[in-house]
Amino acid sequence: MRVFGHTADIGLAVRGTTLEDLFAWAAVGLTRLAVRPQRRPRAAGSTGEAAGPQALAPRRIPVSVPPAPDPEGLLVGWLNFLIYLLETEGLAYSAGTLRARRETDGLWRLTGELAARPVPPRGLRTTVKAATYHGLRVEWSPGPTPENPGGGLFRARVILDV
Amino acid sequence: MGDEWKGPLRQVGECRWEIPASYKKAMRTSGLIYASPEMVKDILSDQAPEQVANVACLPGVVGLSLAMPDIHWGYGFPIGGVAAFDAEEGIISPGGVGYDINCGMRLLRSDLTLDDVAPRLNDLMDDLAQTVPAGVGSEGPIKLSRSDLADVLVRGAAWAAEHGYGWPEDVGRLEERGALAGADATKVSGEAKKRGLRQLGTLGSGNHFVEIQVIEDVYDLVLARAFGLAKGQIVVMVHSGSRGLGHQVCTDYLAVMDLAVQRYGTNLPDRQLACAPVRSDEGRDYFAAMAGAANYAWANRTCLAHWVREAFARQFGRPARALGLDVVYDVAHNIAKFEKHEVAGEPGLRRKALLCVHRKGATRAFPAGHPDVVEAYRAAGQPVLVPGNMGTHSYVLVGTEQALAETWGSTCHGAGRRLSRSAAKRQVRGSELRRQLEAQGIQVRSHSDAGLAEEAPLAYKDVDQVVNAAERAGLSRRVVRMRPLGVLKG
Repeated sequence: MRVFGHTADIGLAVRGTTLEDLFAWAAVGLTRLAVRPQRRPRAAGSTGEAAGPQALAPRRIPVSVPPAPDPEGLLVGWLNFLIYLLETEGLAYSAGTLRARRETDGLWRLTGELAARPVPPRGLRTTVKAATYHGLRVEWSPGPTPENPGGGLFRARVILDV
Repeated sequence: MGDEWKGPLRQVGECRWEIPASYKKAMRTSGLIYASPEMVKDILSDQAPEQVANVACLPGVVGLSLAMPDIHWGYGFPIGGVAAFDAEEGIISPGGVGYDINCGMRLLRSDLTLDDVAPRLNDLMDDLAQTVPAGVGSEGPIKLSRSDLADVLVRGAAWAAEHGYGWPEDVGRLEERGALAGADATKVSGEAKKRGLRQLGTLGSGNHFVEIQVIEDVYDLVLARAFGLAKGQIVVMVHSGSRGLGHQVCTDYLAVMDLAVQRYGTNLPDRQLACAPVRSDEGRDYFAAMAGAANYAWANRTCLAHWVREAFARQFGRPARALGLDVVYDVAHNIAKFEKHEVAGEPGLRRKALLCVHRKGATRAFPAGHPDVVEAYRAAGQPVLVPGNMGTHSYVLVGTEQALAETWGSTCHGAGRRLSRSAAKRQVRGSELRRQLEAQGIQVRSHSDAGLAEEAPLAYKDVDQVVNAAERAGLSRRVVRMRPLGVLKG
């Protein structure tokens, strides 16, 4: 996962061995951009600003993403769902069990569940307004690839409005 | 920065540069960029001109695909882009408005001078930093119920004024009187409403700010007087928008339009230009939701101005009214509106037509006498509020007849970015920038050094050049120029 610049905004370039893996890495990238790194919880009785284990306990959230005509649209919908969770619930992606598939109506859908941890006060570092369709790409390279000698690789680029 | 643009750009006037319709097969009209010759190199340094050409490909475009002198690379439409579409045959596009629907500027005047403010500037800035909710993830003291929010979405600034967050006379000095007609709260999603419930009266982050300024130069004494402005006077500029609610409305309807593009068989050169016919269900619903978000933004800036008035009143020990903290004007610079304009009709004839005018990073600039200019300024012309960056000047301009004839009554909206946020941070540290600005006599309050660096003056074009190019092209005229004294960054 890497970040690239755009005049008004910022972009994410991610890779994954499956579409679900790609989506998970995109979520990690978004979280790293939007949320300050958190210190490890300290032992009981210690002082400091770090959030306690209770505050950091993840919550399980069902995935709710609108259907899209292709994987690109699904990726944008997924990131926008995570942005919504961050802003309204103060929850940041930490892990997910995802399934992306094309259904009989021709639309792509993302289902599953994610684990999201609460962001402590002042834990947000950047307001990400939205993931955009501008310059959006999801590409599949058939394997073997250097990153995945046993198979192919998905690559995606998405620009975020910040 | 992106790759340099290699397409055809032909100078067709002192500050006019044409992208011919022959550049791309799908272009339905030419592109026209307003810029002075010395600005063109910067404009060609990324793909913003390509975006001007892309907009020219959209169905129902009327006239040219336009870009103001502060054009820079956006997503879909360029920032600084203006395009009009036939209200019957054309399209409406969330990408032509942007995520921050009705991001805009408000200007408050005062009866104070630099001598009044200078000794108290430090305390005043501290008070503003305490009073104005700002920064990433900021929430405000206003807790809206769902029915309150529905009222805000329809009534905009008037809701805020009636609930004690503004003065009744404020609304008469706002574009559209602070409420765009056609808003329908039922077209705004539950997710968007949830994002809006706790954010009314908050500045946000990024390039949003509250700035105390002093008027340093007056270019047109008569117009300055008409706007209640004079040399040496203290004014306050507020830059904010519709916050998370507006972002979510744009996100929601881009997904809707992404499917609508397939349904209506629209060919797009860039997916972010997703659109639907103005008269389709998708188009009507988007306009109703966008108008709601625009009204939320006008209510938001009304509340922000209220916090500013409270801080001034506390620091000067006098009511805000006694300090003369009246609204000068408030402009939207990310919006789509239905407006009547003259268009080419039968050969040699002009006719009035209803158009859906998209302004994305562009300001309406109607001339004197136009019926849509608020009564207070109808004889003078519409004030145009143009911020610079926190180290340079800002301006009040006035709209012109030529803008009405050429750009659907539009001009520039600011300095325009030239560096990405990450590039800006590589060139200057926030703490160093703070010291530089304070050495220039500009007090800075910011929740984040990194956020401050992202908005460094070096990340922006020269606002004087932008405003001069707009004036040389006849799109607006300078009235006054302000110098910053204190900046509260979002």
